[in-house]
Amino acid sequence: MSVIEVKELSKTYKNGVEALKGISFNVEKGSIFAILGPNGAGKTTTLKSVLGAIKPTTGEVLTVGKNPFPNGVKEISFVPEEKSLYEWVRISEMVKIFGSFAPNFSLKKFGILSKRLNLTMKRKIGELSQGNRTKLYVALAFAQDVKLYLLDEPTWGLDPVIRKEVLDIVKENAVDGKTVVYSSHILSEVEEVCDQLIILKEGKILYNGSLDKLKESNKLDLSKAFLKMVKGEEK
Amino acid sequence: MKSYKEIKAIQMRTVIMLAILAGLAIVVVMLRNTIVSTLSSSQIQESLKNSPMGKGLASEMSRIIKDFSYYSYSQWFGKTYMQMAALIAVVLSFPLFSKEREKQTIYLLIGRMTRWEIYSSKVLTGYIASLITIFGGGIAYLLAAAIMGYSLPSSMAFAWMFRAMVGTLLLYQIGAYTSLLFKSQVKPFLLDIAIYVGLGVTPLFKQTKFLDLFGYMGGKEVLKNPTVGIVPTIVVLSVCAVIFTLGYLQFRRMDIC
Repeated sequence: MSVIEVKELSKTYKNGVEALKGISFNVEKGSIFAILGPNGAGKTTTLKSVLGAIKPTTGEVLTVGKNPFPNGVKEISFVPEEKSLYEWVRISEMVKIFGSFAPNFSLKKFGILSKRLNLTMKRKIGELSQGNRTKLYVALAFAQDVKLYLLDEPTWGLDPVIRKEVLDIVKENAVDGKTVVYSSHILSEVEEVCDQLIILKEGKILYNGSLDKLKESNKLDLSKAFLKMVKGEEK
Repeated sequence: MKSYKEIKAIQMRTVIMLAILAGLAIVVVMLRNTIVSTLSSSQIQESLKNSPMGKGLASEMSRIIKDFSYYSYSQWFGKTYMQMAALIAVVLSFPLFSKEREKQTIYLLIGRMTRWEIYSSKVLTGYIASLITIFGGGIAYLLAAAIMGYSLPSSMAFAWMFRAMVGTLLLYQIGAYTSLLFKSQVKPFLLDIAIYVGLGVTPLFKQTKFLDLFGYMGGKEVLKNPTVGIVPTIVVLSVCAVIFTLGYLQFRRMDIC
């Protein structure tokens, strides 16, 4: 069963930038799906289209069986690339605010996650480092009991120990039947968690399939296969 | 409660604006004696007699001295109160959407709330905050006047307060709309100021006199007949409703990026 269905999706922004050029892919329930590509490839535009933040120019997106634009689908939890939170509150107040509008938010689950990620609750958001903001955002997002998690660079600024913890949380959710869509520049961690992936470049899909197949057909690890594919396209 | 975040975001600004407005109300009431004694001095009276502006100015000053209702109109409800109402509208409205987009905190809300939930919780919370602030400022003036022993007919004061509240809703709604149009906070702020200045000069021209929102809010006619002005009130609220709807349609179809 597909949790995400993307058909011939194109997006041209008002400034004329063609971010996506007719991409199609499906994401199956319970999988960890990676979206890879160099800067400007269209990864964030793809995630925002699935979220319902932007309207496709042409094509169709179905997220958990529904058109996500403009109202979104409440079975999604999104972690954006910029981990921006409300600077004027303390972490405990941020959690209260988030819980007031986020569907299926569990304070108990947040407590468990914040312990695992070693979060200190007393501090003000404005005083947090990039790494601590990422930890808080990830804890908030996974404290929502939803069908689909969309993660854009979810380990940005984290130390190796916490990064490993985040990857474990991602894997545990997939085991529980949740779907995770994951975009990252760190190929080693993508390789560790994902089963399916697409590689994007300049708004087009270069590869769509399983990680094992990609590695097998290229007889290389993901980093080398990715570089070969992206650079090979340039030639 | 979906609007909890909006209440938290707006509460500090509301409290500060209410405190400033109440403080100004008290100052204006307290200055009455000083203004009256200054205007009554023989030197000022002599200057008024010789003033090229002649009788008009002299009779205006004489009304300020004799009539507290006129003083309240000329120094508070038709002046400072109304100017503060415009300031309150802009302060409460300009960051509404622009700040969330500029700081990218909008992604906390998108997907977790529908566009209608986001839009209505933001705009309606600001409506309530504006109304509370304007009402509070008016009440502060009435209380200060009562404590100082001045008599101002409450029907007159409530008519001015009602008009100011309705006018502020429109100014706030204009601000909420301009906040939607930009990703940075400075641009909607400047555009709001430009619109308010534009509204301020409309009574100078015959063709645009009907757009005199500040004339309605200040309500000089309330001195003769303490009425809220049903027709202009309906017009102002209708325009407000139209801009509210247009704002929602704009927000509904806009890309959040």
